[in-house]
Amino acid sequence: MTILSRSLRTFSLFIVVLTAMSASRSIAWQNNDAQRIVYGLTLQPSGFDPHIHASSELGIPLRSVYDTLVYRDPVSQSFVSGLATSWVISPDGREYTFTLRQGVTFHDGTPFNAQAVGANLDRITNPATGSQKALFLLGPYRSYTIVDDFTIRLTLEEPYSPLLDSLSQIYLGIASPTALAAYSNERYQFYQVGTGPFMFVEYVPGDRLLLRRNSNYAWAPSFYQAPVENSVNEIEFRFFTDPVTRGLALEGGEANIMGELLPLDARTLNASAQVTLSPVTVPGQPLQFMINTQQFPTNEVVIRQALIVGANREAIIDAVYQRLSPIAWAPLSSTTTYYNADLVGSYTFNPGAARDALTTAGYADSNNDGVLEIGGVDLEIKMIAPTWGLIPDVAQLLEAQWRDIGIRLQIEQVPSRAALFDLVAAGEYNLVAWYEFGADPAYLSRYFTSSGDLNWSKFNTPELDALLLEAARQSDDNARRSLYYQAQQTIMEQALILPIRDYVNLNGYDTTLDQVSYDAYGWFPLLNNFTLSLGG
Amino acid sequence: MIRVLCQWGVLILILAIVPVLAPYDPLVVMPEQQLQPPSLIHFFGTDLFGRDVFSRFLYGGQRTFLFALSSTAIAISVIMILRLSTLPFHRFGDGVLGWLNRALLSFPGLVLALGVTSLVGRGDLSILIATGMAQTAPSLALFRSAEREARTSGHIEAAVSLGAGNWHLWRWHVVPTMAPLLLAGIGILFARCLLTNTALSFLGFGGDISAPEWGRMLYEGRQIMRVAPWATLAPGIGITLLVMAASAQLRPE
Amino acid sequence: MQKLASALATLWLAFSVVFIALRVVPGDGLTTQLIESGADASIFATRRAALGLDQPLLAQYVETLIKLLRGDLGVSLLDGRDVAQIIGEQLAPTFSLALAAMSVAILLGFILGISAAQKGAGFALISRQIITFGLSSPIYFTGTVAIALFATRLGWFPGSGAGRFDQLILPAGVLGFHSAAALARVIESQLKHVQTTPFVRTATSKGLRQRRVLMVHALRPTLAPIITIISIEMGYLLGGAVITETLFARPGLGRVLIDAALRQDYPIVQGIVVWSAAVFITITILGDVLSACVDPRLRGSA
Repeated sequence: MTILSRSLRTFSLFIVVLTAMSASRSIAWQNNDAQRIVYGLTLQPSGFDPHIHASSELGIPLRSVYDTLVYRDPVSQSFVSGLATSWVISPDGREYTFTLRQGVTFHDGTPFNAQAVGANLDRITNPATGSQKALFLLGPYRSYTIVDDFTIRLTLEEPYSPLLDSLSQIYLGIASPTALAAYSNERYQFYQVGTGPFMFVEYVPGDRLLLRRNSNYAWAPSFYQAPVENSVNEIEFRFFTDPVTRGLALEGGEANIMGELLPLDARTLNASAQVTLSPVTVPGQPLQFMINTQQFPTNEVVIRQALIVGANREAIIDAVYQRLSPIAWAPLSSTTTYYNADLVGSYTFNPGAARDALTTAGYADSNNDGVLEIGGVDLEIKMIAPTWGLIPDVAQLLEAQWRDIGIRLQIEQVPSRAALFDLVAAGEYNLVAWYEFGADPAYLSRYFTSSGDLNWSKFNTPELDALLLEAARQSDDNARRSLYYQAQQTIMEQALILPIRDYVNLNGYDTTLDQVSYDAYGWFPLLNNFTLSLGG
Repeated sequence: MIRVLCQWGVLILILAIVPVLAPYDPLVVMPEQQLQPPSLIHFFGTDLFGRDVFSRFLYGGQRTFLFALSSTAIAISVIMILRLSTLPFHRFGDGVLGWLNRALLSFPGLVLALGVTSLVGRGDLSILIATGMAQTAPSLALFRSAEREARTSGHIEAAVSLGAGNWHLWRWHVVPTMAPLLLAGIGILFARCLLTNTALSFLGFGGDISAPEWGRMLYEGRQIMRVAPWATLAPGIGITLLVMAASAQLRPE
Repeated sequence: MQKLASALATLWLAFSVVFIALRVVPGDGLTTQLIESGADASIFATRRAALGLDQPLLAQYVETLIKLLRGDLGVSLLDGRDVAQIIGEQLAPTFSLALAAMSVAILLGFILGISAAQKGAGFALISRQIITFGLSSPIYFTGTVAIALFATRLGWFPGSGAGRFDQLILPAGVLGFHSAAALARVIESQLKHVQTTPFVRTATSKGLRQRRVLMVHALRPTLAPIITIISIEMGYLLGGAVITETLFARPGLGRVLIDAALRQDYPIVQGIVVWSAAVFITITILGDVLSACVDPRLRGSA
């Protein structure tokens, strides 16, 4: 028996053993004593602190670690009590008095009271914290007053009707003041303590985040169900930043549930019995490009309109999103409050009309290179394209479509939020993809008013300012609706954005899970209500 | 050696007439025809945007080849500069070069290339430079050992005894002796540059995202692997064949 | 001893190169993060001072070097985590992949190399073609195809993740295949070279079968370069297999490096690069020592 054939035999034995062991894996997985699931996260945000960072990804686990003063019911969309049992708004709209729930304790034993809420507000408003979203959600908030241990009053500079909406978002989750004091701003994200149905166990960046059920949770909002025998008790979050690995992970049992599946994968997996698709249309801004009105050539409204009319969004929805998202027509997606449905069908695809409009405006291709010019300058557009959300794919299609009408597109990819902000600060762009989510459209003020910090289309008129700022002040629902309708109309008339698709989160989950549902803001799973399939 | 030059000549000729061979414009999108399997209309099928994979394969081959060539040129230039600057210092210079080389060699190639891209930023030029710099060390090691071997040959000793100066010796005696090994070495350098370039493209560091390039095609092909494997197989096999051809000189006869 | 000194000097040079390169470029992750959150100048200054970034370059260099000698690799610019700890967390998946891949590589490499060294067609020819393919095909290609075939289509093995044994099979298999090809090429050429030496020809003329000759007689003196290449491959693998980790969604040093590079978190980039260099140098020295043990001819100066 030569060594060669002996090694070959060992090798084949090796393979047989490996296959046998891999067959046993599926059995091992079902042995789920801890009632644990693996949830796939798809972005690695720069940080996991809800008071500081703005990513919606962090909310997926943390929404269940913290309670908020109020909650938004996912079905009725109305506000229900959370850590605050009731509230009174002063007639001038500038004072909100909250009566807080008693008998609530944080995961570290600290009792919950008005002082705790105050400590959280102090942290968020402290400039040293560097809050990227929570602070903005508070709007014209000025200060708080502790009336007694369980009553707190918030005072605003001016009326701000979105305040309740803000207070129901994870970014204003109430954290334990003991924990906040014990750790520095950069370190707290690794030691988070809230009052929610799940406790934060650990976070290893790029690797995992672990949550475990809080058995002492007795102050759930009305739409949280009581834990049952087959409730999920432990959740391990793992990161799948590469979109291709998400479908594979679901298939291979690597993760039990995952969002942001590639549309092609969602389609093919849905056809199999293994995976259930759960698409959720997220309220907020659609996937859009903001158009810079102060940079040549998009400083001309004719060009901006030509860009939208010359974009075949139908083809993009087909090819890139496999028809699993609808076309976006307005600055808000269709499930957002005060969405102006009249805007559906504005700027339908018409390359001929786009070309005509450009010719009438004086653009011509005198040197026959396929690109129009005016006064000797080529019609070239620069786009800042982040690498997530399939935006580069959208960009490639747009490039081809605009080439047809004589506009040349230059795409600059940015791999991170930081790089994107850098490029925007430099100012030399015509298009940039950026959008925010949320049920109340108050954030539009950040994007379309002269005082807005994210006004990247750089469009300033007192009329639009007035519409948006008044809409935030108004408490009357109909008045707000009318104001937001007009604002959306103006934004689209001036072609300040190129809306592409309403954001539909393609969630998929395998047969391990039975009940899966999402909250009113679309992104955040109601982990408390997740149950395992019986027999698994 | 003539055979090698002929092989390369044929390859370059093929790459030059690519525009004639390609049936479609590689940039034109036809989304209605996305994800078609190979057929008589589209020899290699279509990708996510309905672009003809065969045409993109041809144009991409041209671009990938040119990129690899550029990185090779960068690496060779750096090596030349390093060697020529240490030449006047005889043994000491060679020693310093060896030490520097060993230090650079201890970085895994891709790690070094990634490090360079994190400094220079994304984009095609960044990839070219990163690869060129990352492949300098391994090829320098190769060339140095080739040179050492060449210097032991008889006629070098003869030239020295005839009073040949340092530079003259190197230029007219050592280098010509090294020639066949040099050529093989350049072939291997080219193959490595090709692999590193396409690896960086594959990881997403490339610039012009719609221009066809084999590494980029593999990056995009992965997303549709489940339903359209041809979009990955074409560039992957292309890279394999090109690397095989470039490093053919080293195969033991 | 001389080897050790040389190795340390090389490591110092590697560290210096990285340090200078990273500091020379304007901008860093901390600055970007603070600008992004709208922090004002005083906070900026405090954070930078806390990390020692406001000192002159030479002072920073010396301080970093001293800390390095004590095993302190610094902290992340963005969230203050200890770099040494970050690397430590990635060691388990990186090591398990490297070891598994190396096992596959050694086993497969010897089989292919020995069979390729024999003359004629049949298994020998097939082995030679496999080796060439393994050396020429890029791993992101073979990996993608392997996942599509064995994970998606056939469902034999999982195509992603780490922690369970069966998740190692595909990545170690693909990685090991390419290392095996490199190894096999060296084995093949060494064996071919040795076949022409007198003592092997003697063995063959004694009438021993080809394979037995190769294995028992020819192999031993050729082990030195083989050990060298094994140690080189191992050194690379322990530094983190960037592409494999990306393809198979495995945690590991490669992925941490890419992320840190993208976010300009320099201490992490520096730490991993220096670590990779240190590991590589250590493994190659071990390889040299082992070679000297195996082949007395190499024991000359140590």
